[in-house]
Order: sequence, then C-alpha cells, then structure tokens
Amino acid sequence: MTLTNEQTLIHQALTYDTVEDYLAEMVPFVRAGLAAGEPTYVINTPRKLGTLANALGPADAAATEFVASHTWHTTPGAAMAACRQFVESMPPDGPRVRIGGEPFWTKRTDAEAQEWAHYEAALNVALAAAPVWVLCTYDTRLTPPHALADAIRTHPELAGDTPNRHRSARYVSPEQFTANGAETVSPAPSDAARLEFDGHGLAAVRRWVSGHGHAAGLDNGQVRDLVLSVHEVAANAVLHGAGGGAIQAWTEPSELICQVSDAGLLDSRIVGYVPPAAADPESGRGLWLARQLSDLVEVRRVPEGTVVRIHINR
Amino acid sequence: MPHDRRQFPEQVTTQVLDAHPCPLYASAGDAFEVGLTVVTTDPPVLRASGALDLTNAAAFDRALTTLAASGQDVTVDLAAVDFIDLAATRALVLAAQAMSGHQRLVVTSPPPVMSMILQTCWHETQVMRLTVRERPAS
Repeated sequence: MTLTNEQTLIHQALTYDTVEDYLAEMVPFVRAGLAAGEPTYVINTPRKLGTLANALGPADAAATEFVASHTWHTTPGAAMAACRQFVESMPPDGPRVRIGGEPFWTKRTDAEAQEWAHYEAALNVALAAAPVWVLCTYDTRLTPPHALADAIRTHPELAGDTPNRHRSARYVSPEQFTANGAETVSPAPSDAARLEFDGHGLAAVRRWVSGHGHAAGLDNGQVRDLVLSVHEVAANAVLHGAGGGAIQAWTEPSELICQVSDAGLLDSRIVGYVPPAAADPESGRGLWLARQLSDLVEVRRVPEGTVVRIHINR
Repeated sequence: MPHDRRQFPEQVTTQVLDAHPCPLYASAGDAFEVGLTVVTTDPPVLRASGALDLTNAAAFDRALTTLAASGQDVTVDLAAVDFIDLAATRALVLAAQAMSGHQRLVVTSPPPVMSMILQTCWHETQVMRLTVRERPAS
C-alpha cells in the first residue's frame, strides 16, 4: 500500500545485510530530503558515516548532518530528551526533518536492549505530531535476532523500497508491544538490602538510598540524582500505586541498582518516555525525571505488581 | 511556636498565615521534616526549611496561594531546604502560572536538584513568571 506524505511522524525500520544495501536505501533517502529542503541527519558509527558521505559525494555530504551514534544513543531517556529538544527547536511551519538513525547493540545488556525497544515503541507516541521522518536502520550482522524481531513490531512502516512506503504488517501499538509478556526481569539477589516504605517513610527512603549510593562509591552528584530518582518512583507508588512498597539495593561490578516494587499495576511500560510537555501535565513526570537522571530505568510488570529498576553506573 | 497542622482546622492555618512572622507547618511522619514560615506579608516572603516533598506539598501550595493573593511578587527562600521533589516544585510552578500582570514568584537559594527538576520537566515558556536565584556555589 502506498502511504501519503502527511506532515506528522513517519517512523520506519530498515533491515540490511550489507553496506551496499544500506547505501542503496540511505543515499536516496538523504538526497530526497536535501532536494526538498529538509534538514537531514544521519546517525551511525563514524565508519559507516564516512562510507555514506563518500557515496553521497562532496556536495550532498556537506549538506547532511552526520552524528556519531555513541553521542546520540547514550541512554534511552537521554535520546528521547534529545529528540524532544530537537523537535522543539524546529520552526513551526518549517520543512519536515529527516533522521536516518542506527541504534547500536554491541555491549548492550539484555535489560538495555529491552529498554531500547521500548524507546522505539514510545517514539511513536512521543513524536506522533512532529513533522519528522525517522528511518531506523538495523545491520543484521550486528543486531541480535530479538532486536530484529522487535523492530518490525515497533515501527509502523518498513523501508527498503524507496520511494514507496509500506506498512509493517507486524506493527503493534506501544501499549500492546510492552504488554506482550516477553520482557523479563532477572530476580533481585537474595542478599539484596531491603527497606519497606509508605507515604510517611519517604525521608527514610532518601537517607537509605543515599547511604547505599555513597557505599557503592558514587560521587555526590550521582548520589543526588539517584536519591531523587528513587524518591520519585517511590512517590509514584505512594500516590498512584499500592500506597507503599519495598526498595532493594545491590551492586553489580559496574553499577548500583535500586529496585522499587509495589503491588500496584502500572498499565504502561513506556511511562516516562513521553516528554512531559506532550504528556498529561499531571502524570508521567516522575518516571521521566528518573529516566533523565539515571543510566537505565526498567519498568516491568511482575505477578506481584510493578517493578521499577534504576541503574546508576559506578 | 511550631504550629502542628494536624491539631487545627483549615481556617486556623489560614489565620496563622495572615500574621507574621510565624511558623505554620511541620510535616507528619518524620518529626518536623519541613518548616514553613511567613517572614513578612508585605512584601510577601516565605521561608522553608528541611525537606519539601509530596507529604507537605499541599501545605506549601496553600501558603504560596495565600501570599500570591496580595498581587505582589512573592519571595520563597529555600536556603535552609536540603531536598525538594517534583511535587513541591510543581506547587511553585503552578503558583507562578496562576500569577497575573507583572507579578513574579522569586525563589532564592533552592537546593541544586530544583533547577534540574525544572529544566527536565517543564519547558522554559511554562515557567516564565518563576525567577530562580541560585545558591552560591559551596
């Protein structure tokens, strides 16, 4: 089916097996953007950006903005905030913006890979009204099979037949995608420190988390960010969840993890990915804040309720 | 004298707020986790100490609303506040947004997290009537 060029979000996935296949799609994508006067960005590894620049030729390459993926795809929360700032900086009534972005998967933990998939799903909501054409590229040689399977479910369209556009038959809404039950959360270690809390105990929560942050070797700024993140997630449990819950803290070799569990049933696992300015003014800000301040936030439904796991690198 | 809100009906709190200077709120739970004091009502100056969070954001919001009714700029001194969360920051944002004309809400010496909360959760156009005077770097 041919789709119209409406001035709202176009979010496509391209899977490719060779650099030639990548260039075969990206070169016309970039050139069509430049020809239409659209600001055009490509995010990828420096090596692939160089290859694309050569294929485009000096004039088109000079007109294209190249962004190294390790500066864009830092954490899912930061990438979403960057998207928000980017869209807000665009003039109203200006041309559409094109972004050809490639998430990277090497060195990603399973938890990180799951959250990046949630990010891709949330993008459909967060940028729904933005005049942006996002083409996400997946190198099949470097992408784990589950991430490839997720990509066709988180992207409304599949690329690979430019200039024609095609819906992804497997696409599901962000809510359906995150509710599929395939996501997992590894159990907390049995010897993890634990503190139960309710609405009267938030000050104690902050002192407890601060102690664990310092003990894990975090610097003062990291402890401050962690305390606020955990406080806001615990506050959500008090206000919107079961009225209280439990916090567990433990260290891994490279990170401190604080997990907030409560018996409430959070109906969306993408909460905190949609920028507050675009969201209901009274909801979602606490998890948005936590996603901005920490290195990773997992939101998972478990049989007992909801688990929010906050990771801080140390 | 500390004024325990739990022992007084709502209008008493409001009357206390009308006098000055006076402490008007200390939170339940952890004893006296926060204090709110109206330093002067003309010009309106509110001083807070301790931790401002969702457990006392409603009282904070009432104090701000009462002082803002004067139509004058309201100063909120947070130099003695060691923690502020999203709920209490929201009370400041909503109080500023409810102001009219040239009225401003001026927050002095907030904990460093407050500016981070503001920048992360609100667009600058949403907080134009809120002036923040940062704490001197320690």
